Amino acid sequence: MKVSYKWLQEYIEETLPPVEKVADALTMHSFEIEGIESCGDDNILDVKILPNRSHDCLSHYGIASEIASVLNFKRKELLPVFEIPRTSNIKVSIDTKLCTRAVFVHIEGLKIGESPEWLQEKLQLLGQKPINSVVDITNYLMYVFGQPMHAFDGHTVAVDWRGNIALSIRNAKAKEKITLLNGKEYTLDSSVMVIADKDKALDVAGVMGGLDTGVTEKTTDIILSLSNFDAVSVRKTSKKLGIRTDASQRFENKISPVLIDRVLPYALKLISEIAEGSVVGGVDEYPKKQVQTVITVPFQKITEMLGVEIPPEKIVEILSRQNISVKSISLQDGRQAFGVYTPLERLDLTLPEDIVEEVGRLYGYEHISPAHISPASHVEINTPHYVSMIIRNTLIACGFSEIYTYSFVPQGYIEIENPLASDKNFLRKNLADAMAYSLEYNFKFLDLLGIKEVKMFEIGTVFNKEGESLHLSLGAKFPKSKQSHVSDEEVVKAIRAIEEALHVSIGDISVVGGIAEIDLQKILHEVKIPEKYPSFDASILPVEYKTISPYPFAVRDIAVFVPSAVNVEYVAEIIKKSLAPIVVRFSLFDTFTKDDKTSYAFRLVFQSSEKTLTDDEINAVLSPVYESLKSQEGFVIR
Amino acid sequence: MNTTDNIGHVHPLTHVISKISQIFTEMGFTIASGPEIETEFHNFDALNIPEHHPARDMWDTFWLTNRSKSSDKNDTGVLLRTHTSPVQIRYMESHKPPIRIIAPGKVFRHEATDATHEAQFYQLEALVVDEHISVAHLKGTLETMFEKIFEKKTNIRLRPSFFPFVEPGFETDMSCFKCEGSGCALCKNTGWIELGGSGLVHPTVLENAGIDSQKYSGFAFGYGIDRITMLKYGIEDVRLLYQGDLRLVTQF
Repeated sequence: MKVSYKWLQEYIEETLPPVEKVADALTMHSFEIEGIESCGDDNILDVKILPNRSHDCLSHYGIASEIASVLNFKRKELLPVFEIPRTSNIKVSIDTKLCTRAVFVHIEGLKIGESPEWLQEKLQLLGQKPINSVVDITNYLMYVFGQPMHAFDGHTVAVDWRGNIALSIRNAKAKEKITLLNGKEYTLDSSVMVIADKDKALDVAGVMGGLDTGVTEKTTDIILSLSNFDAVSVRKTSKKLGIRTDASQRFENKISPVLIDRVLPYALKLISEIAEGSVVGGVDEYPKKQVQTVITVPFQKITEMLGVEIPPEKIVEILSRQNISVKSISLQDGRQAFGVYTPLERLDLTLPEDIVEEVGRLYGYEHISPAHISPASHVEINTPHYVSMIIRNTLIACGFSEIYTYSFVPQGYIEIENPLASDKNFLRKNLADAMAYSLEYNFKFLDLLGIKEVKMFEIGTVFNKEGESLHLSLGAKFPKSKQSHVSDEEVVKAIRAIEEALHVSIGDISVVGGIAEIDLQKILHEVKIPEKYPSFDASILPVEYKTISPYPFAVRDIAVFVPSAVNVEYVAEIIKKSLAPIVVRFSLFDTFTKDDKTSYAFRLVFQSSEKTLTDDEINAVLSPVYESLKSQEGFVIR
Repeated sequence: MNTTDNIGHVHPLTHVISKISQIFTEMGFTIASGPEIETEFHNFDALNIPEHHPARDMWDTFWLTNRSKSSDKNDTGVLLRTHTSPVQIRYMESHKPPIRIIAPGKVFRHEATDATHEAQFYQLEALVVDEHISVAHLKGTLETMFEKIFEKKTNIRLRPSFFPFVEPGFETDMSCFKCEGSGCALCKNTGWIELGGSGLVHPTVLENAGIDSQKYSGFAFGYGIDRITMLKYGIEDVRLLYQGDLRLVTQF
């Protein structure tokens, strides 16, 4: 939520510290400030209000109050509750359990026009478009106190023959239609709650008002409407109609019905000052008043859960900063406890654990020293984990490398209702398909990787009609010069090695095109599980990871005849001395001796992390290599 | 310069999972696991995330087709688990305290992918339930783990946060292993690296799994293993981990 730093100051007695300090204090004790944006002479904080604090903090006053708690400041006194003069003009009936309070105030004699500059600026600061004075006041006060409000044009609401208005909060009728302020017509059903007059729905409760009854500059009297609606109902309606508003967002997080008392005097004051309206009277239908929550928290629970000793006086002080009052009580078992009386708007506080958090976060988690837990007496061995460990170790020794691939594929048995892409709409039914693709993919990199063949494996979950199962796939691909069955044989050899390591028989596995897939689920129960995990060294190697270059690599071979007395290290050393960083791999790949001369053939792989290399750039590296080789006695470049 | 070898390479995610598994089995933790296709009960309801609660918006979920909505625990799976936390529930359903488990496993989130977001990734879940488990124990366990992974003296910083299955809930930061807190590019000059959520197990979660929350308390955390792996090795794009690309794997 966007929060103006200057607005916050309006509700706190002390001068606020600089905005960065405020942001730090909130981040460490309340919720994260995701950004600070300077805006003229103000700063806009982007506050990531947590779902449990969306009851009381989706408003400037809520945040100001939170700052007062954290920094131990005094909140400014609010206007006293407004006693609404009764009027017989308006009758209200709440015909649903999903509305806990409904207030309507009739105001007349209005002169509605553009809002004064200060109000327009305030709304613009939060990215809102000013509309007219009354609408702007309702919007502004929602950002201040978190209570949504709406004004109906009094002349558009139906009256009976006596001139009285009969309003109701009810479920919409089947196929009831309403055109909302966004200009769109919606067809409702009985799951949607509406505010209605005797003839028609005026407003989708908690979401948006109707177009026909909206306030314009011609409006002279209004019915100001403030209600409290059930969170789940508003959330469902908002989803169903596809309308998310600042109002619906606040209701779906559940707010206290007492917020109405807080905002109403401000609304009437501003409407009177700016639009010259005067209150005729109103109704306040609040059948079941909210009861203050009292939580019993044993003294030692706070210390036990936080793992730090906090004196009871300190706890009382921390809680009182949050307007939480505390009484000392004795429990039946003789233990001492706090009776904790929570503020009505703090709907997040219901359990002793909630109070532990309130104490902990203001006390400061940094004051809790780390402690160690005693180890459990018995460690169970996880069979799939153990078997995977053994298989990995076996396959690494056989020269196979491990890959991870995606679970989302274009074909399978189990379909995703909401896939990210049309070719990722199923869960994989095997690992072999990804293996086949990866073999081809990596085969292009033989020279770059300095390997003679690609050998890989993957261990992962696959999804069949029966459910999910742990599979192993193995794949090998050799250059064409080798006979075609070499790949298959290499895979079979690896499977035999796994059987030996696990002391199980995997049985006949078909190897096709150098790829095999094994359902590990079928052998898990046959594996004898040890008492303890084998002590494989799981130290993380100090790998200096190098970013993979997106540019192509180039291969050049250098072959040189040297006198047989010269050893290969000597030749390699000469070449190495002249190499540049763009040579990413250098290896000997062929040796033969003829008469008194030996031929050494080296393969050089060139690649840049910044660009595609040109022949000239490669030759610029090769030429000095040739020169220094040629300058050696008896060396002949082939 | 690399030389040709005949030994295969283990994927970096496996390196990190193995290391974490070793650290925790040495501390007396059992490695637990659970299915990747989950029920709504285990993934949400049992974790104190009821249907229609705004907190459900915190997890973007992949749903399976042909599902019937239900919150029964014996139901068939209807979604891809969005976190490893359902393993907590499954383990508590079948085990009595004291409990010390970790559950490394694959999870799924319905979100657009980029260098730091993947629709599939690995998470490390941990759950400890015993008498008198406190925030101090959580801090101590995290310090031990991250000191062993990053091989540097590590401080843990807890900030208030909210996850429906813990109370109190935290966002966990570790002191930057690169600059040791003095500020560098990796930690964006803050000296701290954000790891993910943790907290004390919510009493409702314990009760949902049949554990007396008056007698027992516990802590839990869930961090991205991919993120830890990327931090450890300086891998800049999470998507590289799932390409089946030996140019990555052979470096490890």
